[in-house]
Amino acid sequence: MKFSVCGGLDAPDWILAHMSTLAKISSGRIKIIAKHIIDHMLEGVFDFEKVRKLSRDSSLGESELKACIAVLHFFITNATKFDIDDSTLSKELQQLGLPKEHSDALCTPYLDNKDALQTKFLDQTLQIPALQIGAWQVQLGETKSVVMRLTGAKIADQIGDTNKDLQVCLTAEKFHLLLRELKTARSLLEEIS
Amino acid sequence: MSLRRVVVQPPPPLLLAVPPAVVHEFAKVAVTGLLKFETSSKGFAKAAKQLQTSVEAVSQAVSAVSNIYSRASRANLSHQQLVDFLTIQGYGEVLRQALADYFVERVGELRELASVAILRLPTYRSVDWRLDVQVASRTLRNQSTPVFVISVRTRPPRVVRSDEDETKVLFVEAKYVTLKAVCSQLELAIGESRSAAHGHRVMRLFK
Repeated sequence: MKFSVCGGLDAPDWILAHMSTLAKISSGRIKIIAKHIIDHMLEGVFDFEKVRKLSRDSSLGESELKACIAVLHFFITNATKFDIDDSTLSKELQQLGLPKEHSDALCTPYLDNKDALQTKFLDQTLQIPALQIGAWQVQLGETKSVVMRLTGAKIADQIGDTNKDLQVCLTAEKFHLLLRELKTARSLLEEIS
Repeated sequence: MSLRRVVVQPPPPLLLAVPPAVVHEFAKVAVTGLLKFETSSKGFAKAAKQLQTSVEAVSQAVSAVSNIYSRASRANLSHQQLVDFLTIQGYGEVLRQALADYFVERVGELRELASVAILRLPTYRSVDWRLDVQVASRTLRNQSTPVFVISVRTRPPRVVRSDEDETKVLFVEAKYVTLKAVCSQLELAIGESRSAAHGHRVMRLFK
């Protein structure tokens, strides 16, 4: 069966295997664990002790607790990645075998934090380090020209010689041409997005 | 290390002449040198002045102890075996005991170091990917060229690692066809290890 929460592919076997484990915990606990996971994604802190205390009350083994955390993490990450609204998410969770109130318990914290999660994930997208304009100067004289210093962004762990400064000198006509081409490229992009 | 074929090397004269406390110091310096892959000869000058010998004699003594310890850890000698070995080499009673005692204290660390293979490739850390589509360029509009950008992070091999661990990042571009070919080759590789022909036979040897 194709699920949009799995990106239009079949659900992985390990998810199907652990849905019954997830159904064992109460829906309130699912909400709390989901909140902890979202905090971890946004801020990077995960209070494992608190979550472990929850499991002790509901007589869930340690490995089963970790499986539940993994399944919830998978759903929240994918739902954010594929921009799924909460009604679709709830429907698909029920199709996978999670009772209705558990699905809703997961959807509520997801819906509250969806935008924040998407912004955070956007920041984490792979980006080749960008070129930055370090300094510029306009020289007036017989021929007006612009001098620019371009630097690669500083990333501590990159192969090769980073921070290679490039000094460029452009005449006024060339500079205008460059500006016009960049503006054309930007307008093309805006047309698409 | 079979005791039959061992070469008898007389202990350096300095080791015979100094008290056991100094031998203990030499042993400590030797083990530190073995664990960290470098010898600091800074302390040698001070030691040589205190003992009123040359720096060369001190370094000779420390390297003799290093040599003994590295061979002993390789062969995993027990306390008694090391004492026997040192007897053959011609070390005195007190010296033998002192060296063997300190060896037994530190053998765990030395063995752990010896168990690491010296030749190691950088290890994989993580892979990140991104799909870019070129929609236009200065010369051509309305195109659609997809290209994958992949960043592979690796760590330097364990033996060479120092405190400042530099994760190296490699940025690669790949087309869809290339990625598909790489994936199919990797799956063939995994399948090979599970195959009944060669893989199983080799795995059974280790179990």
